[in-house]
Amino acid sequence: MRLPLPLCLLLLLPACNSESNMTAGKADWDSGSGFGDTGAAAGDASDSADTGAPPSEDESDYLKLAPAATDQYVFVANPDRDTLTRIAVSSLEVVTVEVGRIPSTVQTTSDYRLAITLDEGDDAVSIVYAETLEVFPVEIRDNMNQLSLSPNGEWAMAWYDPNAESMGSSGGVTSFNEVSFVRTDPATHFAMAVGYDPAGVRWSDDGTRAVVVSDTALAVVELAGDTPARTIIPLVEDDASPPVAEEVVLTPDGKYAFVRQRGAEDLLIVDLDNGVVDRVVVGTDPTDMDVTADNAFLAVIARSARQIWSYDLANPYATPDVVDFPVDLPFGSITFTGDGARAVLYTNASAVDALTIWEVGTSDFDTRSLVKPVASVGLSPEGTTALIFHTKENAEDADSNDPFYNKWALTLMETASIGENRLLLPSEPTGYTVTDDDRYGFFILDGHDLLEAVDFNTLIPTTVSLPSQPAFIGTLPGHDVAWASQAHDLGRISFYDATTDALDTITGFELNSDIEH
Amino acid sequence: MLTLLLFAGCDPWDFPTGDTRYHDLLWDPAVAVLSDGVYVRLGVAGALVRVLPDGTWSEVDLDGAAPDSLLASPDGSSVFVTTSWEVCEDDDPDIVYASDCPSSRLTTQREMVLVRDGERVGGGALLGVSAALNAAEWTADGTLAALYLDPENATDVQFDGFLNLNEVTFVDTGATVNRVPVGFAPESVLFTADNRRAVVLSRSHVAVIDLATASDGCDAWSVCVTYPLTLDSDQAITPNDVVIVADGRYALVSVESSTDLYVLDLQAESIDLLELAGAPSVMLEDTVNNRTLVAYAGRPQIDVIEHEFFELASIAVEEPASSGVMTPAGALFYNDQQNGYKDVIMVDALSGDWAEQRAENPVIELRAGARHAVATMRAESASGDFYDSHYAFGIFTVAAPGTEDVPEAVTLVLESAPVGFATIEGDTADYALLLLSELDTILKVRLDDASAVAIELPAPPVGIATTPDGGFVVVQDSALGMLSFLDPADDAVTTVTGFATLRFAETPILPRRAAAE
Repeated sequence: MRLPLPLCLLLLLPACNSESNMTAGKADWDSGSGFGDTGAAAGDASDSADTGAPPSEDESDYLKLAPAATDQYVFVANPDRDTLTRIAVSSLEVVTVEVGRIPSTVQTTSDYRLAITLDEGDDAVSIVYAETLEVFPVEIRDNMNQLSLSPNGEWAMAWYDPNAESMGSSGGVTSFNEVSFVRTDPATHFAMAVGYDPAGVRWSDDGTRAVVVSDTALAVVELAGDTPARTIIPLVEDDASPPVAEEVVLTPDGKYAFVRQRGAEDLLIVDLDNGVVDRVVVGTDPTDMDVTADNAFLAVIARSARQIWSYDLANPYATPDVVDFPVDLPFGSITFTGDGARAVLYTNASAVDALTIWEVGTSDFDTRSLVKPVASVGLSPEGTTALIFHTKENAEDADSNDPFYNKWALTLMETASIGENRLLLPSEPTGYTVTDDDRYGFFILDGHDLLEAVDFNTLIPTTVSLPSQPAFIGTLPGHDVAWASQAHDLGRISFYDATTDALDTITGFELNSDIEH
Repeated sequence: MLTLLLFAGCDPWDFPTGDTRYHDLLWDPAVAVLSDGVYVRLGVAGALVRVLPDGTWSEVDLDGAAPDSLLASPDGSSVFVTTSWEVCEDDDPDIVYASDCPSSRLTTQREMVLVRDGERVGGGALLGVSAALNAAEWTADGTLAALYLDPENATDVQFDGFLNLNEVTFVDTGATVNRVPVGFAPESVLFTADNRRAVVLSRSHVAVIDLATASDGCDAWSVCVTYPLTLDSDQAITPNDVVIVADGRYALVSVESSTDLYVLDLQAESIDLLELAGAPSVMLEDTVNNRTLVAYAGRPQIDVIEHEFFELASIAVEEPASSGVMTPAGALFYNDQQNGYKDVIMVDALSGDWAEQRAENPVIELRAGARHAVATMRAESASGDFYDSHYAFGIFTVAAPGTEDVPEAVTLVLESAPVGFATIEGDTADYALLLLSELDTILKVRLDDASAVAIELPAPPVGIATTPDGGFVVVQDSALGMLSFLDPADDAVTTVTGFATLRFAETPILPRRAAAE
């Protein structure tokens, strides 16, 4: 979701349905394929046609070229100039370094030590030390267009996603099975073939194991040794019409992977140590799964069954707890609060203008009606406040005289109490982020030169005028500061400090790449 | 005895350089006033003479060359003289005069010399310095000059073969020359306060040059950093104005036809852009409050930019301003471009408070000191009103906004057009020395009460300048040459005449014949 992802979340596919059609900080799981929830809509259409069921829940397709932040700097890749710009937030000092050709994305490691660019024009990654800006280029396999970093920053993996935009092609061989692992220190490249059409990677907490996910197989890559070693575990027996893996979750210790397949009526549990794949029963139409903050259990939403199935991660084969929904509504998404005490259940696959908050471990639900159906739900880090972004479309029984009718809207909702603030929006929200101290949230709107800052204590938004249309938004770890990169020929980014209500903007920083020393 | 102080920021030279009445006459009233005398170009004689207050004059040896133009240093220590001489490429010893030489063999050569104490520094021409350079910027201490071609005044520039418009030529007081390539068409040069660096504005670039002392990573007399003003090589960005602020840390560069203000961090070597309300007409640095004030010719607004975060605060005033000057009480803005705007506006950059006084006629020129500002004002020919149809002289009190009991501005209706004025700040009273066309007097106006005394001159004045020792030189309309030296302590006038009769009846012979051979 936002930049300083809790480690537990790095083990997961991004909390399903927590964003939709928006950008929210860093892309932890880029996918335009059928893997993950992202992009499932295409497949969902056929599913829906086949089954008459609502489509899969929709999850964000994070855009490329979003800046990346550490607690001190924001890094912006300049693919037109083959440079990486570092902006010091405290001083607005700008330093630009050359990286490889066409750096299409930049990501920072969780220890803030490195910024890593995927240089599509050179078929390389550049490992850049955040403080010194030393650059270590590493060649990788041809035509990779996706990048993921391990939680500890020791590894990066690049792969080719045919459904994602490529900003540069070397013209060489394009493989649909290869991935490139890059050790960041010393900078070393390891290529390997994994399952067909790799869609992403899941990392264990300690970064010693990576699981590369393909539609029909998992490649378990052991990273502790001098050379990565991989084992491919097939997920399906029927190669003729295999179900597509839609979501994968690793247990915290990296021993098991849970795989939710599109249209499947059961859940796969993969013993990664032994390469054994088992199936466990799950309710009808599993559409989402999420892990509690304490990593104790995995919850799977069975949308058609109107049930939550909870699996003990310490004993995945134990009989799951099953809780029925309190109402007959097709909730298909679940998001846990940061403290794990509650979970928000909702759907963005149907025009349902309600959600429910589940007191985890109980059968207690607090179902709330909404002004409009849900497009996506974001939570503050502790989960005390939910940002419920609504669709412009209305619920079936909506009153055309309602002020929210055919309008964009946002509801700020306290999850532990009844406080809320329903906001009519002038246009579609295109990105949001929250500070890691649970105090502020920020969102941006399509076509508007502004940033909205929400105080989670009061649920009151403050409009902050920006010099131009924001494109991406994020926050600085450890600070109540949001950054908003904006459309400008020469580069523009603004920093808004919510505690002081101060806005600083730096414009033209891409000129820095042409400063001759 | 009066302590004589020049009003800060005023141009000590007030000669009609654009006046054409003296073309091809005996002498050029565009004289250069140095501490060692007044240098006068004699057109017909092709000579440069130095006129002294004791009534004597002497010719400066230019080795037969004729002075074409003078560029004096602001501190009055020396003057650049562009010279030319005719060369006959026929070695016939009978050729003595230019008229003897076949026209096809007669050419003109040019050179630049530096003159001080009545002679050429170094005994000859400045080697490698083009005589086409028509603009010079000097360090505050007058020890170094940067010569370049000012395109706005280049219509009469003569050169042979080609002219390298990619460099700036630095000349120190010892006539040592250093040429530094800076990019095409350098149009303005500024020196940092410590005189260690020069900032050169060229087309689409700003170059920072290390001068005599090398710095880290930069050689002496070389471009240390070049800042681009655009990333599009097809786009020509012409800098319009520049101020160096915050003790030399930043250069603020405005460009033609743009609302962008480039903030060049000369220390961190980075660029930021501020978007202004329009193209600035004038920028002033308030060193006391560490702010820059920006006015716009087409907008009744003054913007104040602080120098820490470069945040901009706008002040709405009643009329646009095209010019301004800093005073101890604040920034004083006025409009000398459009007749309709007559406000003289004092702005406090810290508080944003402002106060206006009204000029009765459109301002031609305004100068300000610690207590008073004075302005010459043009007649409004279209007006039938008595006051408006006359030239005028305005006296304004310099007072911070909010000051109580500020005297009203005083306007003196003038008999004829003002041809120049100078100001004197004394311990007890301030004065203006005002020259009017066709009037054989200097009007010495006491600014506190607008009382005036007339100081007789032997001929009508055409210009006035301040000498480095605090005196004044009045150039007068006399065919054979006339300068009057005014001692402001006792208003004593010493007039020197007849210096333009040098070689009055002589036909100049072709110089440097031996060199030509």
